[in-house]
Amino acid sequence: MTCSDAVHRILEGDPLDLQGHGDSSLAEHIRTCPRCRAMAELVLEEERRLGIQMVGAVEVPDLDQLLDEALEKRPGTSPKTTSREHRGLQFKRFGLPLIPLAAAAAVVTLFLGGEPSLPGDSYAPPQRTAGLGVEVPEGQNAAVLATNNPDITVLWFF
Amino acid sequence: MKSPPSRIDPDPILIEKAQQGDRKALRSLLEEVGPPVRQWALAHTGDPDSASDLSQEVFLLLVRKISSYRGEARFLTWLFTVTRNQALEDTRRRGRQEKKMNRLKIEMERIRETSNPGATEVDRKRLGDLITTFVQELPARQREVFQLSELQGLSSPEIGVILEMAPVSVRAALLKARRSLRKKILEQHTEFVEEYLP
Repeated sequence: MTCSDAVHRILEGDPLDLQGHGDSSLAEHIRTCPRCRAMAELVLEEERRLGIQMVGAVEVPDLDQLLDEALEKRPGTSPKTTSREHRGLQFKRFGLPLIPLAAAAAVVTLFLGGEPSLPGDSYAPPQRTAGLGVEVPEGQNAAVLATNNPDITVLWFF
Repeated sequence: MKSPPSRIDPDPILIEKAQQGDRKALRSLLEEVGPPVRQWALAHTGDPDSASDLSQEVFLLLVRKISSYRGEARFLTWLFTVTRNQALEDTRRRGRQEKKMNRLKIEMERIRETSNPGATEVDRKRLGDLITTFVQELPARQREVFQLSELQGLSSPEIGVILEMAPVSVRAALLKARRSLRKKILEQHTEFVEEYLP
C-alpha cells in the first residue's frame, strides 16, 4: 500500500485500523509508516476533541432542581407540587388560604351580583299538568308535564 | 496512542438503587450519563440551545422510566433509545429552527474563545470549524451515527436498534460521516496531505 492509498483509506477507516491494530493492510501500513501513523493519530485526536467540545457546547442542567421536578412526576410517588407549581402557591407560607378565599369571593359575586342577563328568548320550563289520571306501578312516582305544544304531554316515571 | 472509545455501562448496583428511587444514586447516574446525553442531543438537534432543552427532557424521562430498564440491553443503548424517542417528540413540538443558526454562531465563537487555553488562535479556529462542519454540513442521521459509534463506542447493531436502521445502513452513514469530517481535518493540516488529497 502506498501513502496515497493509505490517506484515502484513513478517510473511512475504523479507529482500530487507524491505531495500527489488526491485520488489515491499512493497519499494517500505519505500523510501518511514521508519516501516515502521525496523520492517523491526528485524525483520532481531532475527533476526540470534537467529542469533548460537543459536550461543552451544551449547557449543564441543575441536577438538583431537575431531580426535584422529575421525582414529583414519577409514577408511584406521592403527588406533591412541582417546583413550578410550588412557586405559584408560595402565598400559603404567609397564612393566606387562597383557595377558600377564592371560593368565598365566587359565592358573594354569585348572590350579590343579581340575576345575570342572558342573550336569547327566556326559557319557560314545562308546567305540571293537573287533571290527567295516570296509574303508577307500586313503588314508583310519576310526574305529568305539559309542553309548549298542546298536543304533547310528558309522563315522567321515577 | 489512545485506545478506541468504549462506553462502559454504569455500575448495575447504582442503576438498581436509582430504580428504587434513591436520590443520591439517581444524581450520580445523571452525572455519569450527562456527557453522552448532551453530546447526543447536540448531534441530534445540531443546535446547542435546543440540545440543552432536549437533554433536560431526556433526564426527566430517564428518572421517570428507569424502573422499566430490565438489563436486557446495555444501559446506554436503552437510554439512547428512550432519548431518541423523546427527541423526535420534542422536535415535533417545537419549531425553533429560526434561532438555530444565530445561536450556533455565537456558541462556536464562545468555544473558540474559551476552550483550550493553551491552544493557539489557529487551533481554536480549526476546532470551531470542525464543530461547524459537523453540525452544519452533516445530515442529522450521519451526525447521530457518528456520535454513537465514534464518540460513544456503540456497535452498528446497537445503533441500528436505537435509530431503527439496518446495520448496513448504519455502516454506510458512518463511512460518509467519517469521510466528511476527516477530509475537513486533513484539509486543515495540509502539511500532511497536500500531495495526496485532490
